[in-house]
Amino acid sequence: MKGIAFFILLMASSGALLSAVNNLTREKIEINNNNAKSAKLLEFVESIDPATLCQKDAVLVQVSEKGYGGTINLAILFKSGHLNGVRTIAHKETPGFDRILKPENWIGQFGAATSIDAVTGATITSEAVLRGIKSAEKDPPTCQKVSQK
Amino acid sequence: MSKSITEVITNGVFRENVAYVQLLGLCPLLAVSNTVANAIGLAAASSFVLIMSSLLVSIFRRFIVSNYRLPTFVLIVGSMTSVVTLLMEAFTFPLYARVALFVQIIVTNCMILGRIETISSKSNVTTSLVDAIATSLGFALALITLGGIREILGYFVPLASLPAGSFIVAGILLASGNYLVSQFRESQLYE
Repeated sequence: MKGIAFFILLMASSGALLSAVNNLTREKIEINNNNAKSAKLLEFVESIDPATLCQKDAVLVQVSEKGYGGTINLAILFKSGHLNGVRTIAHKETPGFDRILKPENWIGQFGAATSIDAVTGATITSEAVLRGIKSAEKDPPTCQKVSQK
Repeated sequence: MSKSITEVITNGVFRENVAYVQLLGLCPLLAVSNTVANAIGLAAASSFVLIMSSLLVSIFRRFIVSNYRLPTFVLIVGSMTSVVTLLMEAFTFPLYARVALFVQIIVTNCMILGRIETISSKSNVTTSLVDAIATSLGFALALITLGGIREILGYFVPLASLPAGSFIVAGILLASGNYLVSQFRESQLYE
């Protein structure tokens, strides 16, 4: 009995400890993640301000797709209504299989090559990326459309 | 347990070094030890979890019934791992981004469960605290030597900083350690 009571008490106090630490760190973690995301975006485009991009007839779209390990966040750049490039902003794919999401690899071909296949061994990851790009391409964003919104 | 404190420390750091003598906790050891910074980060996180869990288990050891000791240990280790994961994600984000996965799997590190099962659940608070600190030091020593050697070697032989290189370098370190120990024992034998 004593053992069970202690175990239940331990579960309750672990829960309390975790929620306290979570409350303490949540804001900071969110700021960190947002900073990391905007740093990634700035590596890709010179500015994340839509007006500045529009001076060069460029539009940046961000989409989320369900991958193998969780959500994949993609930044897709359109220039004059055409696909110009894709970068991964955040993902939870399996280490090793995530190499295709690096700009010097598979995902870097978008905007340059004309036909791109899914990747053997990383089918779910690459199909999620393809899906995300297709959903953004269905209605290619241009600066006029963005300003109308 | 009537071991002196110095004995517990030398055991933890050298004679029973978790990584090189007991060969425990090798997964994070081999995966993260490509640079010294990563090695220090993982060593600090593992030490925090090991020391806090040992402390808690030895304080509450009278209440832990042997039938559910494993769930209890895992619950304590898991909570501590979550705490350290959240703290690292909040305060040392660049480091966390590189070693995140291996911080999360500290919870399954058999080094920690092993120390808790054999020492903390059977000894008083001081002994288990000293043992946890000594074991952490031993693990940190192993991680940082491996990380340092691989980082320096990586400039000349790129293989050393790749995953396969960690097995090779760790194997060479282990073999030379064993050789030194056997030489030492032989010299004592003939005295």
